[in-house]
Amino acid sequence: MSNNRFGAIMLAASVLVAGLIIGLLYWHQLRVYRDTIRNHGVAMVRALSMVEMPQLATASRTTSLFAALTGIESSDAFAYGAVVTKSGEKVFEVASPGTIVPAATMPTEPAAWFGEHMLTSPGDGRKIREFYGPVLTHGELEGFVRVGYYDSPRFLPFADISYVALMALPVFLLTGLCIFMIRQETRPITQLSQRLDEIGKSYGDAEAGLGPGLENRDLVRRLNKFLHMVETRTRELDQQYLAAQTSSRLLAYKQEKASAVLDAIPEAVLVLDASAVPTYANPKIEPLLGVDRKEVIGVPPQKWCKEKEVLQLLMRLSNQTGPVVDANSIEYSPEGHPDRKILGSVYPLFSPRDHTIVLGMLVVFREISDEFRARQAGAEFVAQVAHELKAPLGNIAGYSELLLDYAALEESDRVNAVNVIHDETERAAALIDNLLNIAKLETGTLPLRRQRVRIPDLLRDTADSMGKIAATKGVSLELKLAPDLGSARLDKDLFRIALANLVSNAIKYSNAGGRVILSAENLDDLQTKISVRDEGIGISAADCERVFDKYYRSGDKEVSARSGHGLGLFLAKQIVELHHGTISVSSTLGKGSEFTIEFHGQTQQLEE
Amino acid sequence: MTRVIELFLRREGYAVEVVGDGQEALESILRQAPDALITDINMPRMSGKELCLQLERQLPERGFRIIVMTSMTERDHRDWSGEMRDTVFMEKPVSMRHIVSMLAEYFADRRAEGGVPDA
Repeated sequence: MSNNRFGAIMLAASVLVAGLIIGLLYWHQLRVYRDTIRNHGVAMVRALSMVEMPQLATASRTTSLFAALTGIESSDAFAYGAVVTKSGEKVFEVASPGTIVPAATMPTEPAAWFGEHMLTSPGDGRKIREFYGPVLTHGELEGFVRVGYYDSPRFLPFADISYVALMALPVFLLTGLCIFMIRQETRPITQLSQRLDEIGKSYGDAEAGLGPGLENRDLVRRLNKFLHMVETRTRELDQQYLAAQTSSRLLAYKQEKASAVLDAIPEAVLVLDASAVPTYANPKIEPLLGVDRKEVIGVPPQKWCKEKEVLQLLMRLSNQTGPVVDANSIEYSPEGHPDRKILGSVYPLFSPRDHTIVLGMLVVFREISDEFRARQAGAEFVAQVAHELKAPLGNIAGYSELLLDYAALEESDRVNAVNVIHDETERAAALIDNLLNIAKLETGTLPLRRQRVRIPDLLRDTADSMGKIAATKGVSLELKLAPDLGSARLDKDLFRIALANLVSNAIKYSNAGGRVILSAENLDDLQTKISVRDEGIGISAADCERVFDKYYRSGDKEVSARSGHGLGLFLAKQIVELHHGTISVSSTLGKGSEFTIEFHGQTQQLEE
Repeated sequence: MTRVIELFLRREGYAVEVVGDGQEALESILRQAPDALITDINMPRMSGKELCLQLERQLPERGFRIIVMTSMTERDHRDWSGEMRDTVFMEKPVSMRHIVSMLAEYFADRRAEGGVPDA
């Protein structure tokens, strides 16, 4: 309810209460009054009744006992006092001014001689309570004595008015105070209500601002609304917060993943801004550039770059007037490691939003030592091949030039020349074959085509193809095959090359009259062993270690006297190892050598 | 290789001495200076390069031309070829006729200058 209505109600209530109090007071007073008049009345009547009639009747006003007694009654309540006969005739009366004694019927029964009754004043209609009693003479009823009092006082007992006022005043004052206090106390609430209204308006509450509505009901409504708004907002914010948290966690995770990816890149990655100052470096910076990534970020390259060429490149790029739009790269060997090669590539970094804006540079360092070496090995190989071919070509050129003058030559010279040309051509062809096979093996492009090969057949073929060469040199070639030899899954062509190389070596390094023995047998552990033994010049212990190396030729005079490229054994080893076998040599210098191949050969039981 | 050169030169009428390595060559030259020397690079005991440098040091006044046969290019030998006087580098494979004609020219020039025995 509004404060005003509240005030009004309070006032009304206080008036009511005051009225109540006054009422109660009045009623109380009335009772007291009535009790008093009764007391007086009855006492008076009784007293007067004691007196006999003649005394009462005859006395004058001043000497009358009656008058004397009634004279005492000077209060306003006293209406009259009268003595009457049995029949009602007035004998004597005393009345307060302006009072007329009303007529009344008197009781006749002795039992009812004492009593009281209500009469109405004939003059002003006021109620009179009359007390009566008998007047006796010699015990005989002569008449009645009647004393009348006004039943209700004419005016309020004025003496009590101030008392009443005193009672009412605090009530009023209290009420006034209450109203005031309450007003004071509720002022903040009113203000709060107004404030809530304003807030409601700012939050787009349609009902807000429709009027002061300072009633408490409004307050509650607004408060509820406000709380509801706050609740809704809080929930929204909570959700947004959760969403933001999730989003940020997701971002952090993505960033971590991206970081992990960058860290895992095998190359060293540097991100530079437009002035060549690094903003990011991945961990591979350390092994490739020799600096810790922490030392590098935010530090100009002059301070940390140890490689001169890299520094030059970076400074050149950062000093360029235009942005870096082309990729640049350099190959260099790091300080103190001349055997290593690193490729540094610089790429421009374009802004993801606008591809015409260059944000900086991306520099990637990659260890290319192996590639470099491979490149070099390749170049070396080509040079080697060319070099190796020059010898046979030289001879072919020379002898064919000789033959140009065919007629002038002697028969023996002609034959010799043709033979030499023929041999050299074959040698050159064999060399090229070897080199090609080796090249393929080394690049892994030589596919192994395994077939079921019968070992005895393989060895017989080799012996057949080598037979003529052996015979030419005067070397005997023997074949020793164990009876239980089966088949193996081998690449027939490659294995033939390997065996041929071994046998041709054996023949080459034997002297005339020597023996070369090609043998094969099964071993206990499912391996098959093939060996080529000769009784030739042998190999020193030191050379045995290196005899399978690529291009290795012993410095021994006997060896250098014979032509060779140092590739045959190397190739044989590659082929054997490709078949997961092993090749070994044992030799005594001057006595001979034995080359042994062991491989998993016995497939007789498994296949079939 | 040496055989064919020997054959060719003999046919041209030159007296040819063939040795197996640089060491023998040096010894032989020091014994008796030839009119021309034809040498390979890759030889046992003493290489062609070593032989040339030794000759240059030990026979500063030598009067014969050296022909070096190499499977590399002359440029590859430039680290020491600058020290050599009157030395010609020939790339393999070597043409016999080229050697023969070059020697003929050489000797003709020397004869013109005076003082060289007939080949």
